[in-house]
Amino acid sequence: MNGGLTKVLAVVGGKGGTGKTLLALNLAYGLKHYGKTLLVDVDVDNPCSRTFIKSRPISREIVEEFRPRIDEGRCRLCGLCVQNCHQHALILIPGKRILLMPELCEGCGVCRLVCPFQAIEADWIEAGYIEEHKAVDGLDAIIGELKPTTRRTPLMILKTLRYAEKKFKDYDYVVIDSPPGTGSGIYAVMNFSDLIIAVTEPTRLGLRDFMKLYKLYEKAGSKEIFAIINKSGLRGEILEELRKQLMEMGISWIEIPYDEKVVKAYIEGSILIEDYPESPAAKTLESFIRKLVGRSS
Amino acid sequence: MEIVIASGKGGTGKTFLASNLSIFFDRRLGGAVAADADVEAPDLVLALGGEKTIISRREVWESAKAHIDYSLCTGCMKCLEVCSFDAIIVEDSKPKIIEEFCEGCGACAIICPSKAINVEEALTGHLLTVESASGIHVVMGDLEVGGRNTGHIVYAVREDAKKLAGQLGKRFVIVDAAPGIGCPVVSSLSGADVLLIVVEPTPQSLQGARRVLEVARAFRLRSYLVLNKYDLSEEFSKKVCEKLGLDVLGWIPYDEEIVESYTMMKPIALAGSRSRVKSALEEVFEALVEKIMG
Repeated sequence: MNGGLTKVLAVVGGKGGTGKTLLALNLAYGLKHYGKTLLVDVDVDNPCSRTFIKSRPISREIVEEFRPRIDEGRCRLCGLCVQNCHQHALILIPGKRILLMPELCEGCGVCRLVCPFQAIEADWIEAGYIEEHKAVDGLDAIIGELKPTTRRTPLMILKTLRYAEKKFKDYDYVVIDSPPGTGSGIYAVMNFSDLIIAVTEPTRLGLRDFMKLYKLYEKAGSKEIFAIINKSGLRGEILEELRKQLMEMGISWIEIPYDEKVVKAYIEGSILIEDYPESPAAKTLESFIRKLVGRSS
Repeated sequence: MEIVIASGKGGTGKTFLASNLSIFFDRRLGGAVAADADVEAPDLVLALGGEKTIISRREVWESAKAHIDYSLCTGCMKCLEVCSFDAIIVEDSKPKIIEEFCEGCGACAIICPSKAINVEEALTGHLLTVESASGIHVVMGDLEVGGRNTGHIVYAVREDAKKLAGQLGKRFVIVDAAPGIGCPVVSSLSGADVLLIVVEPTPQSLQGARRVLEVARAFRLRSYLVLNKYDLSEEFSKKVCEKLGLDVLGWIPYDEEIVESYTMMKPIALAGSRSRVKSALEEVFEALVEKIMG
């Protein structure tokens, strides 16, 4: 890792739609003025960074997963595979055959290991892919994408992170954009990062999800956490309550005002700090980026 | 009848719609139980006015984790080769299982020649049945932080919600799905009756909606569109409708009234006064009723 000099920042959020992608992109675009920057998009269920970055894909690695194919010539219908399938994806039709329910199968391969007659062959299906992008006038990026109808989100996140990790040393800054949630995938994201940037919003929903996310942060033993309160200034917000909570927990934060320009930039696919540098949100972000840079040097 | 609300992208308004539709169905048509299947960030009860009474709380033990007995492990690394979840790494020439990545399938235990690996049951999360302040019963799943096997909790949530609806004599279960298209969403859609996709007029939400729709089509699930925050861009809203080609149940404007309703813990469907958001929600409800009853 660049002699330990690469700074890896993860933007996480608990609740969906708090502004993770928007902030991750703006942080990455801001940081690239201070050092070589890589964006890693592990929101594999719906990777959105592609709608913003100006870059071209240079490579694509397919991630495959196992599906059993029963060789009926060899199968003696002993049912061992069915008993050992913890997803209940295999069904024994007595006297006839073993039936696979593909939408339940997680591709663990246990059926193949336990079959005494080598009657299970491997089929490999696409679970998703990892794409590497080279900047044109934007950002270098690594993007993971899950194939719809498959369900291995945590694995795609982990594979994308491990793929990206090999490139970390070529960069001064790495910004990870992550999916919403507080599960295994976000745990992985936290594990790969030096600084966790938790984006929340001043609503009861935002606060509750932030607390769950913080519990995960404690479990992951990550180094540092920083909060961003996004969309502040809305009528009926619980900003004071959220501030008090953060203060009690000893977490530093910044506040980004709700701003029509932010929404507009988002819809257009433009980058706020580049295209609307005068907006209050862009200014807050710029000063945050300067702070980050000062800290990591 | 089970109606699922999903979106692909987060924050488009799933919980907002699920909470208000639950109230309409409960008050006006046959009764409803709400089910929170966003087990990594369960908020539905907050949007229904908060918890009034916790009716039941139980643990869900549908996970398993592999453990290595290092007094028996010879370091042959066969376990590493068979793990499909990348959960085993090498540390000091011995395999090490990272619990958060372990799916609990047991492949490593089966292959281990020195029988050094045991698979033990693990806590997946909790299942709560709650009566919310707005009177709606909510069944919610709450995944352990850093947890996996979300599908198991989602199935348990749906199962309990259906049972509860049966006991209470309610005809509808409204399921608030997780963002994304992965395991918890697949488990929410599989076997459901109707899907509402909530979309906002942004390219990111359009992409998310498309991806959910792809999953829904694999299940041959009847799907409708609800356009939320349409006034952020009417032009893009039209484009979203065109591109997705689904029947649109209604257009809901963006209003700070929604944030306020969460803060006051008072769902808009229960607000005494009329507002453009409430009218739009009523239109969505009526259009949906027409589709499912007609």
